[in-house]
Amino acid sequence: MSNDAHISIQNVDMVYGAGQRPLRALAGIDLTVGRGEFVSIIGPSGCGKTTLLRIVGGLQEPTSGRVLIDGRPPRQAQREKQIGFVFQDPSLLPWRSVIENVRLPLQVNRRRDFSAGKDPSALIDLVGLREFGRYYPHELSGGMQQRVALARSFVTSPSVLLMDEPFGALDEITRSAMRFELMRVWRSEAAPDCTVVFVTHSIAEAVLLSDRVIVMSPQPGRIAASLDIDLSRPRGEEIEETQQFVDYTRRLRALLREHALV
Amino acid sequence: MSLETSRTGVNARGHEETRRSGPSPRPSRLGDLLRKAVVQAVPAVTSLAIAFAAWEAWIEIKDVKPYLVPAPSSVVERLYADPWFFASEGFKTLEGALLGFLLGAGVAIVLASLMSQARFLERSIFPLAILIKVTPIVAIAPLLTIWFGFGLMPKVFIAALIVFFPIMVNALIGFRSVNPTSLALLESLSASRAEVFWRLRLPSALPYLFAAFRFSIPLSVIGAVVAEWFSGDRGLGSVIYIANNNLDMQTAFAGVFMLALLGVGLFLLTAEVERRLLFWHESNWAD
Repeated sequence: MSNDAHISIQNVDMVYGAGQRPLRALAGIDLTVGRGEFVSIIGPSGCGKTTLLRIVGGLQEPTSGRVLIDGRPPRQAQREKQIGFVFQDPSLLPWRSVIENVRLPLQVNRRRDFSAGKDPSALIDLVGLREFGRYYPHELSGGMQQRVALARSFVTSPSVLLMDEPFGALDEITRSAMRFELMRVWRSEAAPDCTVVFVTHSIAEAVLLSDRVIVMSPQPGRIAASLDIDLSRPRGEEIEETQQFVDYTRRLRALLREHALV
Repeated sequence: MSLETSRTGVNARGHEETRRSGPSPRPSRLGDLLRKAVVQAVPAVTSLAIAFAAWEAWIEIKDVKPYLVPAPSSVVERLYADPWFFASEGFKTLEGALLGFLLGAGVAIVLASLMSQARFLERSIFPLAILIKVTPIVAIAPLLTIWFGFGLMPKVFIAALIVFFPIMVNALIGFRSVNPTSLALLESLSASRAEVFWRLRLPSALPYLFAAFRFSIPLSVIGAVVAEWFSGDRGLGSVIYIANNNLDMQTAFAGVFMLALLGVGLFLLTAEVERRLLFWHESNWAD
């Protein structure tokens, strides 16, 4: 982590619809994320977390305000394949095998000067699916599919990884394993200095993974509070039993109760 | 064995730790295949045999005149006496039906892909397509003889007209039925519209396309036969038409039998291509 600003969200507003009853999804979002920082955004459903993530990733234009990634608009970062996405739905293409799915981001929008790509099979090894490269998504469990999605998001060596409740659809046991898996991959050679914005519902998940947790309040979505997590890395399973960890979850829960309940 | 594998896969969903130790060697599928063929074929063959036996018996007992309804045995005799004739006439019909199917399907898919790109294209093309759909093809068939003469062209044209609409509608639905998250993923990589089409929309549409192919391929045979009635110099349609006029029921029924064979063959072929191409789709996971 460094102080170098990587993602800069400046006064972003998002309004859906017009006329009598426009829906204000985001109001005056200001947030700066440092290079290599892991930031989680937590809040109840409908607080605009996903909308904010989509705006940062250039999938949606804000009504006003702007987002800069390395000083340039997200669309530019998209073109350079600087943005990796992981969604709750692994969204693997069912007609492609595991390795072909991981290779997909290298195949689309091919530019001559794009050479930063990673070896898909090395990434499949990294997420623990060495023997499954030739399998098809329907032959894999939900957790394995999400590992493939993780490998796919790293294949272009993105500088920004945007994750929208990536483990939300998994069972508790798998989810817990995937959190450590994510940290391991994120800290590996596959993702040097990768900045992560991670949207979640889970307090424990946010504390375990993040350098900083942003609490959002709904209607309209605003940033209500921010909590720095000073836990040393690498973080193993034992950290969840430490007093520090428990204190952080308690404080985060209090912040959520204070700001995020409607 | 492929069925076994996919069933295990479905069961493994949600159980992260049910990992298998890599791709297992797939044993010979021949035994499985034979067993499946027997299981599927025996009931069908039995019911057909009973139906034909009842037909034969009815003709015998009631002493039905051969110029009204022929006995199945006499139809088989007729086929056996002149197999080359029926095969070559069948081929003429098949040729018209398949070329018409390809033409109709091709135009339908191209138009649907255009419509999937912009609503204004849909609004301009769809009314024309509906016009084609509601025009009774039998009514314009004689015109096609005037325009295209005898032979292959009218068959191709009518078969194409018949299959066009169902394929176009299904293709359009298919091109639109893409997983929104997959679409977002491609957008986040700055994929072009063409890339989204080839890499996502077209494969996503395949299950819909094959659903349309399955029932429009037999339709294309009907189209070719209708054309042959009006304008054919060759083909099973003309064979049946002429035999009817001559009260030669053996030949007429032999022609019908060949047509049924063609229809079944084409249907099975489509199903097999679908099974191989859509191994990844839910419709092919169950038995």
